[in-house]
Amino acid sequence: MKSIFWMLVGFCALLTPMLVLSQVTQPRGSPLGTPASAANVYSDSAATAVMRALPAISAEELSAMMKKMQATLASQKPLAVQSTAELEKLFSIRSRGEEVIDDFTDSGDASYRFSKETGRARVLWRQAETKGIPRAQFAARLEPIRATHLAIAEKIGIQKSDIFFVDFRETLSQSDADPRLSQVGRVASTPIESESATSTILRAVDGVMIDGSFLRMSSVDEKSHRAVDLRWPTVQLGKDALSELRPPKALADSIIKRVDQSSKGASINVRMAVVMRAMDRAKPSEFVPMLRIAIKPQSLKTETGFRTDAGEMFYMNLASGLSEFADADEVEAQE
Amino acid sequence: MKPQQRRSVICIGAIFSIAVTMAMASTAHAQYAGSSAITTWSGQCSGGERLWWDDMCMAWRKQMGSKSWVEWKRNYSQVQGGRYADNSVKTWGNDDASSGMDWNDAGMICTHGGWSSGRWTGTLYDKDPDKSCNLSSNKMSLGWNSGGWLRFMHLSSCNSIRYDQRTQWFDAANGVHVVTGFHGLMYIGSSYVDEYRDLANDAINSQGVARAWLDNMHHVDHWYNVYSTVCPVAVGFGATVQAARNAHDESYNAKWSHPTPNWMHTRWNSGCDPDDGPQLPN
Repeated sequence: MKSIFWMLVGFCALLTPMLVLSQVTQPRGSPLGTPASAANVYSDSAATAVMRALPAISAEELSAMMKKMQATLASQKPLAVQSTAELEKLFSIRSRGEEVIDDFTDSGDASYRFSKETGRARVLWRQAETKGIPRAQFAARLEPIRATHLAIAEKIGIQKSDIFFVDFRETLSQSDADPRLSQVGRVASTPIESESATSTILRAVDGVMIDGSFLRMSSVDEKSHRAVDLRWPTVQLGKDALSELRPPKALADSIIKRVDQSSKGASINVRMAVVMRAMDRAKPSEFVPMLRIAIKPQSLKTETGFRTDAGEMFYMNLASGLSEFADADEVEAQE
Repeated sequence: MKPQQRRSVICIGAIFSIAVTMAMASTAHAQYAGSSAITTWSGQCSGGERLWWDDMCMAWRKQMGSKSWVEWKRNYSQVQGGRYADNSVKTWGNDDASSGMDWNDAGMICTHGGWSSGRWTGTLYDKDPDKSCNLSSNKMSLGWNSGGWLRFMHLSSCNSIRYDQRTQWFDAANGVHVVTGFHGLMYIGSSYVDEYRDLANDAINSQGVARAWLDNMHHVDHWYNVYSTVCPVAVGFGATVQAARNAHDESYNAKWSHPTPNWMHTRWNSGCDPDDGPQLPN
């Protein structure tokens, strides 16, 4: 009987993350993103890859979206955490009575910092020596941890309507012995164990993603948290967001040139999404619509294996008043 | 030389000596954070241009610098094989010299990466003396017992720790405490810069380096109609299973003793499903 029970527990352990992941909402057929049919199709023509990936949204629809968002943002309440003291209170951290922005405060069992300006909070709890937990045993903790994370999001003041997507997964680990020390000359490995579970809550306003804004929380069980990373700035529309906007297709030629420069005729896939992004690091609350573009290269077979060029992500402004390319990089002087 | 001139020279010399002595004293216990990045492959090896890669690695290095670590950099055409290979493995290897990666206490290599049979192949700028464009774990010997200093080796490179090839890093482990990398494809761009800075911020004292890598480098990139994940992986070394597990909790400033790498402990996020790689165990 016992063995049947543990087999069932093991089966649930494998099934639970799948069930949890399937509970997230994934909008289908959104005009804000690359069609799903193009998500994994490769081409050695930058033009083909880009045209296939363009989101269908028009300039009129974009403008209407910005007006609606302006109204939504005007009625939004600020987060419940607006100071270091409120962060300490929320997570029952012993207070030093200091406003900490640039560096961590160490309270003994946790290090933390908070910035109202950027809407960023980070809390790292100090754990006793980490122990792996058998997966079957940890499975019973998954649902309570997931529920706790959503409850904390609510306490922080995150509105359900602003939750775009929830990713929930475990941190797993495994040990291997050096095969050179093994008498049989092969790797001896321990079973895979669980250490913690993490929720990543992505943010959107009126269904439009706020790029880089999320709440991530990791816990060992429903009461023992390991880390919180809150990136939830106040969102205000920059003036350019409400002026003339260009649809993604108006940027096609520039995107093709940029993608071609990066891929140099290699086989690639392109993905795009209309997002809201802070246009200036000095103004972290001022958001404008941008097109986020990812280039995913296909592996190249070489004499010795496969060469994979890293993927690339860049942004283009959808506001006509702003330059097309939203990123400018810095070249380092040689040593 | 007139007496007055001589006094001036002596005075300047004395000031110079004091300055040098003070500088040496202030760096006597310094730790080095070194990074190597390529953005444009214009040498003998080829790769797609990635203009933001140096910014990502620079953000980590400069943040380490702001925490009193000494910054070390060898970028672009300076990314040559000998700098990363150990002379115990390759006669032309020079990684323990002050111009080599193993001179650093924490290092980061930022370059394209593929995989061959059993291991990562990072792309160099020019071919090494063996006529190869590949950096790989079997040319490296990292850490104190190899004559170097590295405790933490970060690989900002695709496929640097593919799950099914993770044990390749035993070959390079010679005192290094932790190696971090990616299973499958990773991405380059302006939006990734801050997380390299955050890695340094979080792990300098407050969190284990391996844990900070998993926290900061894991991405859930949503595209409305599909979503994808970027999959960081970290390995720690130790004489026992528990020691290897504990290595994930060592922060940059902790300076734990150098491990005997009998065991490797690997951590990842369950079911992470990267581009260009199989889904991680779920």
